[in-house]
Amino acid sequence: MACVPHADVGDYVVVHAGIAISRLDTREAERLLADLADAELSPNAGIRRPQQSASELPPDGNRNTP
Amino acid sequence: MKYVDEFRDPATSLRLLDDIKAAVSRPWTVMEVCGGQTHGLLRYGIPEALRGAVDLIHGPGCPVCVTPEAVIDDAIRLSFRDNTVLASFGDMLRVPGSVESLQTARSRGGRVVTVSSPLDAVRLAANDRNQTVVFLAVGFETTAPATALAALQARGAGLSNFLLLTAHVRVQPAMELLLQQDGCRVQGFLAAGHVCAVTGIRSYRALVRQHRVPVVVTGFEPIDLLTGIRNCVQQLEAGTAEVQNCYRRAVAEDGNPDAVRIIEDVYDVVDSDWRGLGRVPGGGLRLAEPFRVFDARERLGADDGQSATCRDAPSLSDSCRAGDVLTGRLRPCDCPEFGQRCTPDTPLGAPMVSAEGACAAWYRYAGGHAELSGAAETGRRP
Repeated sequence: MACVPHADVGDYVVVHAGIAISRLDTREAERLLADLADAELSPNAGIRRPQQSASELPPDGNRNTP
Repeated sequence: MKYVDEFRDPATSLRLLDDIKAAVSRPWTVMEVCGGQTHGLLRYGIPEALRGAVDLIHGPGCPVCVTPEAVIDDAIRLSFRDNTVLASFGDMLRVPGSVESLQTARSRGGRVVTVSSPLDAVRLAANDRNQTVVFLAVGFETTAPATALAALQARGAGLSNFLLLTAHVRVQPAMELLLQQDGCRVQGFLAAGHVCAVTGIRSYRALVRQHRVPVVVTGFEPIDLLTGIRNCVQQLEAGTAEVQNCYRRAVAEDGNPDAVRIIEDVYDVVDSDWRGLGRVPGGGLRLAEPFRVFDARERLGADDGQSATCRDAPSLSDSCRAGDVLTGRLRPCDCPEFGQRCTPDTPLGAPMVSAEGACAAWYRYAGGHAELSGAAETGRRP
């Protein structure tokens, strides 16, 4: 943990060659998933997308929150 | 696993695929820099799904693949030295040197052990101070903090029997060299997410400004890969070239300052030979002056690993075209040896050996030689 001295129990870290090189920013993880879910629900959310059938809708984007 | 499975969601992936295809007005050529990304892309069939829209070419981001033969030759020589053991990551063992691999050297009596971390090699040295432990330190900026930490630990413990045979490389100088080569097809980069987790992303701004090529920092799961490709394509369609970070959960703007500091303390930036690319200005690291006591080349008299012929002779086999694969000029399946004489069991070159090698990824996920001819034909753009 020499390179992520602020990591705490319960954090997620990226480990490479036996050391942690990055502490996962869970807010950023949730944000990307939420953005993708928003883009699905709102055609004007900024991502160009083709016409889709309802069956292709992804699961609820908030399923990862505890 | 949390924060992994969510980024493999099939429905979201399919929608991103549609987004990319809808955004494309002409085919674009995008290079994924990292071998881990190559494996992710092929594992999930993304290049095939985007055929005709985005041509994904595989970059040189496989440390095992770009390590010069001379380094492996040095490691083999050291494994036969008295009272010496050569410690290495497992995926280096089957990589051909100029004559043989570490694995065949071990079968002839060379003392080679595999470790999953350089810190394990330090422990080996601490446990038996009568033998010299040489760690074969290959890897990008992702691995350099671990080997630097090993040097710091060895110094802290007063170990004189721990040495590093270093062949560390730096990714960004190789990307710049690729862009300067004749016939470079790269129009946009997916930058290596875990390298950027260490280095940060600021340094890419100069590259983007100079070459007008979008650089999108990208992770390794399908949704990460597709988000990176989508943003890269959107930039290409809009005629913009910026640094974008699509892997924010692991990559901060400044990277990991603690890791960067450790690298800078222990290593100096030097020019370096890459298998397949030749000499890359600023493309490598060597131990800085205060840490030269841990340098196996200085202490044990190995060569400097900078073989002048490494570009001309990129592999054991003359027919292996690893250099063309590593620079994105040749798809693995278009190599005459692929799946024929060259398989993961009988590799002719490093990219078929390494877990991050493009040839190994094609073999594993694109069906090997059974579907080779079909895949090669249908994959070819008119």
